[in-house]
Amino acid sequence: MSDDDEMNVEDRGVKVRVQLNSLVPEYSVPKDAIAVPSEVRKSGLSKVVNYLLGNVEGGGDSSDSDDDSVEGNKASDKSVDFDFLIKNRFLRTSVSSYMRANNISAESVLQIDFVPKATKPENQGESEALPDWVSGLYFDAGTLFSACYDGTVRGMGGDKLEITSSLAAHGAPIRCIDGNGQGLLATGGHDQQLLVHEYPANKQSLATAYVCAEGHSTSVESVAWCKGESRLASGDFSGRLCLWDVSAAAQTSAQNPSSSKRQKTSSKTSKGSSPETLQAALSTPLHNSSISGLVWSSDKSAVITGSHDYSVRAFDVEAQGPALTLNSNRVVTCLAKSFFSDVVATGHPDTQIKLWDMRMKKNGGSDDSVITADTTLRPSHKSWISCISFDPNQVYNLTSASHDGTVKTWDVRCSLPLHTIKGHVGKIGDDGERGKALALAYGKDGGIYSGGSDGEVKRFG
Amino acid sequence: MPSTKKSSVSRRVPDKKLEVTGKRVSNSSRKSSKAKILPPPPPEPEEEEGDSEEESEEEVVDGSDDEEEGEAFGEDGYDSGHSSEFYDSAAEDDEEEDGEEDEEEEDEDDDGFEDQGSDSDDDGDDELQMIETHTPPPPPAFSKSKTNPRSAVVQREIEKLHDSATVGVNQALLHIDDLSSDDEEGNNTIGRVPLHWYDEYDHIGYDTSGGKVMKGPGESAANDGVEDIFKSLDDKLSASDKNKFTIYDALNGKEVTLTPREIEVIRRIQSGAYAHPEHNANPDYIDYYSSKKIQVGFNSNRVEPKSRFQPSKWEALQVRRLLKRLKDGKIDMDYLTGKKKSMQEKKESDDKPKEMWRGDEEDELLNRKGPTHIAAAKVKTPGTEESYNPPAEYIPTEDELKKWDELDVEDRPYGLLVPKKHPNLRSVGAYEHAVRERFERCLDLYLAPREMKRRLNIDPESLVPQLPKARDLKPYPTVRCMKYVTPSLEDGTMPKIRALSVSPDGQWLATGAEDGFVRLWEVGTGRLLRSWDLREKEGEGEGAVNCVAFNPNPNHHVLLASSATNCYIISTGVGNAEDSELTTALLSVASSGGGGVLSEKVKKAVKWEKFDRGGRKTLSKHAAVEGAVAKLSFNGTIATEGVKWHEKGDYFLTLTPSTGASCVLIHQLSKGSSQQPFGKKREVSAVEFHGSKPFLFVAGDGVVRIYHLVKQTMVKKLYPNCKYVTSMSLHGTGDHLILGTLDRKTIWFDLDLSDRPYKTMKYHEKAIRGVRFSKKYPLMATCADDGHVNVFHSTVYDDLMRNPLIVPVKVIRAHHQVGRLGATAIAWHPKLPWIFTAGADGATILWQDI
Repeated sequence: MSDDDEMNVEDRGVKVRVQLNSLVPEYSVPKDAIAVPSEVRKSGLSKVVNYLLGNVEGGGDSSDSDDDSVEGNKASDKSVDFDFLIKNRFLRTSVSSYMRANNISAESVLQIDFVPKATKPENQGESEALPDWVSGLYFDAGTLFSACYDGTVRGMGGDKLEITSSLAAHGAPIRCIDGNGQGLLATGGHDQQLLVHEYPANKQSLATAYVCAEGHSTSVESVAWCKGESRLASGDFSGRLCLWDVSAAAQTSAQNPSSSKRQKTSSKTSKGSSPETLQAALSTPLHNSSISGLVWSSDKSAVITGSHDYSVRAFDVEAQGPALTLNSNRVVTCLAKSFFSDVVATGHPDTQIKLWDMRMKKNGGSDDSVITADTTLRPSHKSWISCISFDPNQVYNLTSASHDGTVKTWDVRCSLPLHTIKGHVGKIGDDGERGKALALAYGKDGGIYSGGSDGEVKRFG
Repeated sequence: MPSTKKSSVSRRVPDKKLEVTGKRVSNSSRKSSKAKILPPPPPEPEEEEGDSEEESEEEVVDGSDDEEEGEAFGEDGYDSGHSSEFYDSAAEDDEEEDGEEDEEEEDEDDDGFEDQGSDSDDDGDDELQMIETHTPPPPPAFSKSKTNPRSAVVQREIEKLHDSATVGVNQALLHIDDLSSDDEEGNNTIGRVPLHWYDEYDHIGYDTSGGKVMKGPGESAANDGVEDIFKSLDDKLSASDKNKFTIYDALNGKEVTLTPREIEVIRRIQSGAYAHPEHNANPDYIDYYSSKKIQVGFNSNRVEPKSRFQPSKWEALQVRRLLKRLKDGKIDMDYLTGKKKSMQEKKESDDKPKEMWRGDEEDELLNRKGPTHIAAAKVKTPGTEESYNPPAEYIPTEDELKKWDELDVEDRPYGLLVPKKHPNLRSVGAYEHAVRERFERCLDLYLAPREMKRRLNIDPESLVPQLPKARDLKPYPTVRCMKYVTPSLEDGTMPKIRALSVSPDGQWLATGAEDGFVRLWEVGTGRLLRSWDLREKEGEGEGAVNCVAFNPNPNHHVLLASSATNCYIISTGVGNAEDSELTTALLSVASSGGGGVLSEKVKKAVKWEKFDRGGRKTLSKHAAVEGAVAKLSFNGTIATEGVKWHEKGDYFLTLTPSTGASCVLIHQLSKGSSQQPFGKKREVSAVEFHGSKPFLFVAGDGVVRIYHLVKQTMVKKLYPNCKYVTSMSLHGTGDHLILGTLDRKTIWFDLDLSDRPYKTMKYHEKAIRGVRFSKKYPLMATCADDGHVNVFHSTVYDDLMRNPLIVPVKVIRAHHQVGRLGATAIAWHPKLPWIFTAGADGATILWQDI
């Protein structure tokens, strides 16, 4: 039978020799070059690997002639779907067309790496319907904090995302939320206020600790904590960047014995007394238009901002000036940084996601303009991209949310999205308005939380 | 014997008359010489006789030459002595000798009969020679010596004659020309035969009637010369001039006496002058074309400049340049000689086809004057159906034949012809319709009016102005970016959106809808934040919001909205604390019911009121925001786009078209006051503030008037040539104005250029509802009832010499028509090349550039 299949394969055409190499030790296969039909795609290769691994019984399954039968085969229970990489790019075409496109001789041995295919995130539950749009999400140690357009910050926990704490912090929609991972949470909203909230370790309660005063005169559009520190940065719609230091406020309050911060916060949580006012460490008009994305660089010396004025800037906190300015040709609507490097992804209204190398140039930034965005990721969303988030656990993965209601997961080694999650595509009300995905956060276990204009927070994993 | 020789001579020369006379002269001279020198001339050597022929020919030619020469030199020609001076005697001699030598060589070949008369020949020959050459050449070494005295005699005689007559005007010599060859008197018909054939006879030939011409006495056989001598002696004795020049005509056997005129002619020929005595060879010269200029005026004495006498340096330079270029090969001789106009053009080579049939009928038809020739319509060429044996498909069936019969002849497929099958060609009869068809063709040619259709051979592309490509003019809005979903009405229909305004920082969008609500949206998310119900009473359908306008001052968070006869001042409440204070302060007067400093006239027109919510709660989800604070109620309905802010955000104007003189009112927000700028009643359809100068643009009555608000004068009047202006927008520079009209025109005014439109464009299918310049980008857009939004690139230059560049870049089919309305309002994003459109279909859409 196998001989027949061999014959068939030969009949079908050219064979290429490939050397398969597993990037996951669990699935290591012999390093010998094997000949496969040149027309084989990733599913066919996957079967070859499964055959090599012995996951599939019988040689007949090595042929990729009828997928359905293989799918339906009981023997394929053990089989694993793999994704294949050639030169660190995912293979999305047949091997032959890849070789044609890259001018690779059919006689050479093709090195192909493979990894287990990422499983499609399934809906693992959703919160109760919140009264208004969810504009921001922040996940910290089992608790998901959501910012809503009704001005309320809610803490949710558990698998069913039950609301554990709630704080009506703002009198206007909240636009952004971020935390430092050490019990402090900052929110900014349309009321031009940036508020720092405090939550105890059990996350059962939320209380506003600081009011950041006299920094912003327009709505606060973005906020970012320096993780593990007490510094935070915020940007508003007019393009002004403000830097705040909570510890400085603590010191001043410590100098003033009547209002110690700790006392204040503790008393406030209990008694609900007025929060402390925080003065901006720095307030500078960095952009001409709204700062829509904000993130601290890896070495925590700079703040990377993306703005509606088309530019992405690295603002050196020490030098108090922009260290690097990269110009896009579109409005930047959101910005996220990889947890492993200074690679920054920006989302744009024209459904494009761009990747930027934000490594500072220490020796003069004269050639800033040379740096252009990497547009590997092709436009796949159908509308304005509202949020981007990098996977904290995997180097290459990121997620994007769009006003078309979908959430897409990407691998930067592939120009097409890995998966599309129809998270918030349902109708809202009876006006024919479709939902919009507005906020994203990664859970600790790689789960994706998304919030949208339908007022729901969903978990995918 | 000698006479035969002479006649032969006379036959040989071309000018017979001249020769005859010469011959006669020679005869007479011979006679005279005979009379002087008694002994008969010894026979000359035989060589001489052929010579006479040759030389006489030559001499005649020479003589004619001389004549010309004499005239050319202006010589008087009558005086032989003078004329002889011009003679090249040496040359003459040479020629003579040459001739003789030639003769000697040819001698042996000569035939016999010329030899016979050689003895007497020399006389005549010599005489002839002497007369004709008129030269007394030095006697040749042989045989010429004795001829000289005789010629000298003749010479003398002629001179004598000449002396007796005055030069040129001798009346006796003047007579009408009778020297034509017709009057030759000879009647001997023997032709050109040697006369010595008749030596043995007593006649010398035959006259025209066949009778013999008898020999003259001198030629009779008995004549031995003695009688001649006697006769000449007698003549001498008688001394009469009459007989002095008598010669013997051997051919006719007569003695001829020369008349004085004939002698004069001979003399003139001898001297080389024109033969006719009447001819004046030297007429007085009349200087018709004088080279002398008659100079008048002051400059008549002018000295020629020196440069006239010096070679031109410039020309030398040109020549040098041309030589250099020629040497370099940049030009060639064809270019220099003007055969080519430029070096680029190829030399007209011979392989260029020649018009072989040039001058044919067709060309003449083309070239002729009068009406243009129009060729007759061509006859239809015969097709397969006219074959004697057409294929089966051409032959009509019975049904077809019936059908054809019913049809008009013109509608039948083959006209009169019915295709038939013939077994062979010879069985084809005469065509039965031949006469009719021919007649119809003639009728056609005769009656059908033919007309030359002038076809314009213009490439339509060339008529399109050269505009830059749209893709080079990016950015401009192309793609839908965000939709702002207005809640539908109770009956499920969408309220028509009537008005649109964007906040100066681009964060907020306000829309006014037909349902009487003003809504405030967040631009970036499409979130409906606030809405205010401006209806008089809740639930009533009255009072569609037809105009909303954000205060252009970014610190004033104030929105104006108009609904029917009311204008509302709304505090948007989106500002920060500081701005809110400012806004509150600004609105403090208005919210308390106006300042009240109104003139009587204005008081009638407008009423400032405190806004009465009428027991309703605001529809905003954020109830803390108060919303509308004041209301201005007018007598008339506020026009679409009838509320406009001044750039600084304190003044605004309202337009209520139906209220006569108070139709345009200017209000001041901070004081809560109103003023009426115009006293006269006007039909006004659109108003606009100038951004930086105190100008007010008022469109109405078919004109646009520009008023100076401080001086309170009219500055300018623009004539757009349109019916009703629905919308007006001023460019940021304040120098350009666009109007949108009900009659679908978009009219662009360059205010620096003219009071007439710079450009009038008509591309919308229905009335234009809005025109807008972008504040930041060189963009302009119009929306119309056909639901389309046309986006234009419109660069305006500071340079006054350059016209604005208007390029259509995008037609956005934004909205569909509902009723008679399509796209109702547009607004540009203040910072981005994005445009907001609102339509009667209830959609409000943001378009972005990609």
